[in-house]
Amino acid sequence: MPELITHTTFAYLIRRRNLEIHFFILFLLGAMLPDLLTRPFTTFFKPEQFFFNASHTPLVVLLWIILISQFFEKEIRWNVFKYISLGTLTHFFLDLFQNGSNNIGYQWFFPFSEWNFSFNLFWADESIYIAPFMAIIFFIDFYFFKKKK
Amino acid sequence: MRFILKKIKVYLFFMKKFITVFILLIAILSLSYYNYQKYDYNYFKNIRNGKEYINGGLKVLEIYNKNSLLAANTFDTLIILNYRCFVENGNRISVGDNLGIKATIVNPDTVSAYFVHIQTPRFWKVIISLIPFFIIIYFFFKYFKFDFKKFIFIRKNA
Repeated sequence: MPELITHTTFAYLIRRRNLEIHFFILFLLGAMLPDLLTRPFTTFFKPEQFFFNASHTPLVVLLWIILISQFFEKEIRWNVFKYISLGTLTHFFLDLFQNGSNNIGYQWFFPFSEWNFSFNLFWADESIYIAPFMAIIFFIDFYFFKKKK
Repeated sequence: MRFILKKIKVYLFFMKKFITVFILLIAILSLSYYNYQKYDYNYFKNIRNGKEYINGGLKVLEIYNKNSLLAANTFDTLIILNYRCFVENGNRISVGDNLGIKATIVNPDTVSAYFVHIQTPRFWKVIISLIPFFIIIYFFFKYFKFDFKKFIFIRKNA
């Protein structure tokens, strides 16, 4: 996983510009969600990491999003589901470029297939070098967007 | 009578939500357990079939000589041959370093590396990841509040 600054800044930059603030926050939350569901646990429970890693697969994340959206008002439930899912898609898109941190990769089609694909462009720890640039891009965009408003 | 009907309606509403959440949790836990059962230590031994091996978080336990070292992560303990082939992110490998490697498998316990990457400590990655997490949690609770009666998040200023 790239760290969360890269994930959230990427989602921030590609967002729909006139997105309502509530859904915008959920979109950014979605961009972090797969890592929030797994990394705190895999860090502390290493031998059980594959139990928690399941929550970083598209199907299980989808179930989590359905579960989370149950805890929002009925009128916006579909939009909650939609925007968290879209945020999560941006997360998986960035993960697609990374070398697998274990030998089975990101299990895109879990539990149906073990077929795995990645562009293998960078290692998990290398995204820390990208983070400062992403933060700068974020502040520039934030400044001009606010000024434009 | 109306009061009782209202109570029943509220009860059914909560039951429906409870059942939905329960089913989803069971599905998630089942899939997680399936994943946990499937990828055990033996699985990783068995899939080594001469193909490419890409793995990270391999801690160097012992350097045997200029050609081979012993490294391990939670699931793999490996002898890595040819570890000085192409070292990225550092000049030399020492005991305690975490490695990411691209290699070909020689036998179930030995791989021949063609690309070695010395990984930087995960600590800083975790620390900087906490910044956007707390910012978004702050904004989430700024724009949503939890209604304990209905057991849902409702929008503020909607």
